[in-house]
Amino acid sequence: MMTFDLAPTARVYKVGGAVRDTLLNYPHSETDWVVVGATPKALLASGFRQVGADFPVFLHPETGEEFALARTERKSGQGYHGFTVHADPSVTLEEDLLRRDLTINAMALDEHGDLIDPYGGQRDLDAKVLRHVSANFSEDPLRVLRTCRFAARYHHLGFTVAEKTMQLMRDIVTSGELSVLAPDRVWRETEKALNENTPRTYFSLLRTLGADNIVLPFVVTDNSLDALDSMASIAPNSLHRWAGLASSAAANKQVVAPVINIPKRYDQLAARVQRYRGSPPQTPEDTLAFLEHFDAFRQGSQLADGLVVLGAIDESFHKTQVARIQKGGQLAASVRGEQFIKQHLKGPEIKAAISAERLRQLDALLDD
Amino acid sequence: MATYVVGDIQGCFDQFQCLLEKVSFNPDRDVIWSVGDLINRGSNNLATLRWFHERRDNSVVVLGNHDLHLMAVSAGARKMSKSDNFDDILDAPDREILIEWLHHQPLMHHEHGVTLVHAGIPPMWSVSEALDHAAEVEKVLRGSDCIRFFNAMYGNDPIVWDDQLTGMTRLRVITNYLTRMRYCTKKGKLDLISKGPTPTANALKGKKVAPWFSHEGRRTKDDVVIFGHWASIDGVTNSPNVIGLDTGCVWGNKMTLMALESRTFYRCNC
Repeated sequence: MMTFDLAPTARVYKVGGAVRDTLLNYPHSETDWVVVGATPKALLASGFRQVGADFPVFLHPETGEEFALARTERKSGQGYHGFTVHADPSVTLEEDLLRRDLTINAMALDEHGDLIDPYGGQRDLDAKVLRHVSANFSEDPLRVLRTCRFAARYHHLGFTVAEKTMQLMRDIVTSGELSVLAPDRVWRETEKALNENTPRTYFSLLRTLGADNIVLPFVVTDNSLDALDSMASIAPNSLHRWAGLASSAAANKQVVAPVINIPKRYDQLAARVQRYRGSPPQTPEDTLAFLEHFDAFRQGSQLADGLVVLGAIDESFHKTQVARIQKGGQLAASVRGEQFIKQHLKGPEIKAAISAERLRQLDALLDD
Repeated sequence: MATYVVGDIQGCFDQFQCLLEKVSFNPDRDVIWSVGDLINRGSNNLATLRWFHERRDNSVVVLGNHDLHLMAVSAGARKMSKSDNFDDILDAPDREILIEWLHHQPLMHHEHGVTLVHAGIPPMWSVSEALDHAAEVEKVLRGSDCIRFFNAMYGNDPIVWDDQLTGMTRLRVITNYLTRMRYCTKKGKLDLISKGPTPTANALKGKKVAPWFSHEGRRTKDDVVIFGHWASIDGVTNSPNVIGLDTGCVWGNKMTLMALESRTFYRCNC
């Protein structure tokens, strides 16, 4: 445990995910700390950098880890920004832990390695239950998504969501609070969920809660969950997993603007995969169209990504079929404009000549 | 003595050897049949061709489209495509011997009540009619007119058989049936455009095409036919009498060998 020259009364605790995952013996990357009994001034004087002018969170000068002054938060309006933050040396560790979302996330370790667990986090870890700490849970609607994400993270260990927490989340969804979430935050949470062990659980819980057609541009179906599973079992990559899910889901006709900000390349890959799902290219012409559809001949080609996803979710893209398209892609890409420029062709003529030559090559290649 | 039938090798000599080891192939006693396409795209075309040439008295090879293409390129009638890689044969000191031997191989073989052909037999032909038509092409391949044939061999037209056809046009449609066909109509109109596991709509302007072996009234429906050529169906014909042995080795999938008497299948990964 680190020691700091902050104030004689100041104490530093390890908190949050690091404590939880240490007790679970689960790998984790970040460690967060809470400082009790100190002032911003004292932290700044010790070389810490404040992350935002109004927010009592500081970065360690060497490790970059987050050190937060113990604080309470009170909701003062709708959405994430509607908070009054109260941080002064009198705020206790227990008060700080009380504002957290789940009991398993509301534990602390002191400098001797002793556990401070006022809300039953260890008990819920043993019982494999995700349970809210208090009614304050409802103050940030993103916690609905976070809880679903933790369910996805620990599903394989047998964790489930407590019934009362499910009810609380249903109430939040019904109240319409999800629609005021920042779309970027929804995406970040969703992206994290995609990278968890069992991403299926996240989306299946959203569906159970009726939240899928608020935050997602589609309705989650059994089909799409199965496709996500097939993807998750072979690809650790959130881009591929999203494409597996989104390309197999039903269109959401009720919601015009879902509360999520999906990065363009995620959206694009899913749409491209959806176009060819169940209809692999049959002819050299189809194959060339497929290659162009996935931008195979330009920077940022999604051909490899598209084939990974189609190969996993669509049995008509079996190994031989995928290999034919891959080799076709290499062969067609080797046809470049230079040779036609030498023949003094111009603009549209060059384009047509390249296509014709690519077709000729594909025709030869695809004849078994 | 056992007879084994191997699917498309296409120069994948190592996987072919893997299969022979699997069945403890005895070159002094056992016989091997090939569905054709011995060469092209694999890493060792020359070794494959030499292997069959050395054992020519104990093997049967029916010609595939790639074998005919090699012969046409070797004769100067056609250029190599980018995806062709049989330079090793063209540069070999024994090239002439090997190619000349290919000129004497048949397009079909019929023995032990089994018919071997590279692509298939169109619905309107019986086995004996198909053998007669194959012999028309074989005769030209062995004669001095073969270069004229190689020049005329490429192309998809005419798309259907007509006994009135003569000359090179007649030979082209026979060759297309026996070495290139996948889909056709029940009357034998060829769709040479579709190459995947399902046909492309409208390749024949709305006429219904199906795999050549799946037509109800096919005249060879009581015969056992073994073929290769069609990697993307992965050997699945849904008919016990029609045995597809191309399982896409050259595409990184598998090579298949069948013991003819026991109908046991052996596979090596590629």
